Amino acid sequence: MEKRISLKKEKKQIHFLDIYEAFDHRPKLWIINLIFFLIILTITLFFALDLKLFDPSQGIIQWPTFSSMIKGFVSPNYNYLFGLGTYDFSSSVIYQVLQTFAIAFIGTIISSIIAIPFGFLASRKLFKRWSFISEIILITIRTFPEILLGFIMIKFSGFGALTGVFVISIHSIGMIGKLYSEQIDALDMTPLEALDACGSSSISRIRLGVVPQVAPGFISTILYRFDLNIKTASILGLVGAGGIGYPIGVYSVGFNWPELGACLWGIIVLVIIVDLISSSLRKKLV
Amino acid sequence: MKKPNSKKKTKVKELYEFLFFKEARIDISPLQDGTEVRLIRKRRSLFPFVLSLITALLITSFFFIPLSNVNLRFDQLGVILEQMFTPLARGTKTWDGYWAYMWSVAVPKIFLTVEMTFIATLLGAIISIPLFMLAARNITKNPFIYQPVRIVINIIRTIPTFVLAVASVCFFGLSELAGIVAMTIFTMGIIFKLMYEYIETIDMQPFEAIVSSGGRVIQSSRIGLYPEIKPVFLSYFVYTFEINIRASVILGFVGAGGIGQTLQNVIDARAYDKVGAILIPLFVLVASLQLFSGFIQRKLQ
Repeated sequence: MEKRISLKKEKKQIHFLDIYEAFDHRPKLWIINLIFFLIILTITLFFALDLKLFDPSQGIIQWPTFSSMIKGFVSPNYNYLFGLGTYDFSSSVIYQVLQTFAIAFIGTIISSIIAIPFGFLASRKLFKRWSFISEIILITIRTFPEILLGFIMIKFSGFGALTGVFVISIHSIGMIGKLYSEQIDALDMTPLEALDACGSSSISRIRLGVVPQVAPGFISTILYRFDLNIKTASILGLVGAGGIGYPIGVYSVGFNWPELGACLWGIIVLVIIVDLISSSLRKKLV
Repeated sequence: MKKPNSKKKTKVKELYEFLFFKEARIDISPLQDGTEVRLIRKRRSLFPFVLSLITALLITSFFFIPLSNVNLRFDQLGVILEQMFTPLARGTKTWDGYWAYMWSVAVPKIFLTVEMTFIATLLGAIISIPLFMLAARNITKNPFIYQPVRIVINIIRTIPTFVLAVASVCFFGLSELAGIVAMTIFTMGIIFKLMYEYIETIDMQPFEAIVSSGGRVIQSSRIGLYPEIKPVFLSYFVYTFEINIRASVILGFVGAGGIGQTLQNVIDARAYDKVGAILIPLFVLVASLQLFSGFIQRKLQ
């Protein structure tokens, strides 16, 4: 042990007379900062020139389109929004928004159940070095872009909301499983040992030793993912997997501003309500 | 048995107490014979209520998912995967064409997306700096300043990225600039929230020391705050960059440039092998960024 310490390279100690001299010899951090700043600036300028962002040949801002979009957003097509008049309920925005909610809700519940074994298998504490198999599976699922997963699953179950449910229940496993495994790694083993010493069965060990420690974290993970899944479910419609994304994709290309405004109102209200509920519940849990 | 302090209760209150509380009897008599009993109100477990609520929501949700005329075709799943990872007659034709498409079209397009995302993330991070300083409770002491800033940015933050992209496509036309603006706003929201919550947990003693010796807020945050939040800020920057790369795939579908636009054109043309050729480099990029971001976060925090 002593040998090791003596082998360590000793730092040269400089003694200053007073604080003013020490201040003059302060480390020159500003050089490193300047170099870092210049590198970032060069990269940014290079990227911006490569993208041709400063192309003056075409007008940058398109006021007429934007003003008509704002007009559509301020006065949306109320018949389409609530399914009145010529629109029936199953083609209105309200129905589409509720369908988006339903896709996200069912998908989150299915994936939170499937992710439990993956989470346990990926924990380093329980499975030591064999945890990497499950970890690789989780990273693969997490990395796969959800919109391409939707594109593949459409071939499997056709256009419609059921495909959206499948996509979300597969895609959420990645993140939920990872967060589960982190919480399982943080498990305190002493209650389990105490229950063992009392001679309890394995079911009661899980019920009394594991569940109370893990449940709040798991529930807040599920709520967080549900919040994200609402956004994912609204995107999936762009490839035809159900939800509000499909009309938004159609109307934004076709310049139907009042209908687009109705869709945007629907999705924004849904997202804000779900975000408020989920964040207030998560604050209560933790 | 009569209840001890029986006050008049309304029906609603009675129902509420029945649902959420139960009364436990505890024998406090010295002889343990039940002569002296104290009633204790205990909170009932919410588990059955929550479970029934979830079940009800689940059943309601299934009404919105049309299950008629759905047939699951497992064989099609294999077919599409085969079509994606082998050259097709209507797409790239040969293996040489497949690899050439991947290297000469897909990879440059993905690099373009990375450029867009980098600029947007940098801009968003820079814009968020004054905003999270204004929203942190321990730096801005005035609630009339930090509450409005928080409320406004939290509302902006909840708007999904692709809705922002739809709006900015209307504003800037079908170009990369629209995607950059949408991602900038999105990035600003994320970093804003993460940073002001972090700043509220840090040790304020260096900051206060400089304030008490006559420093202004900017000077004291330069010396007392900046070294402490710099590593966290950088790790959040990398984390947001990773999120934005994923979001940029979606932005192209509403016309805001990047790899998503190519992807949509290819899907519309039914050239599924090109989809596979785009997917492989994209997957490698996102996976390596994810590993890098995790590494940085472990290193810096």
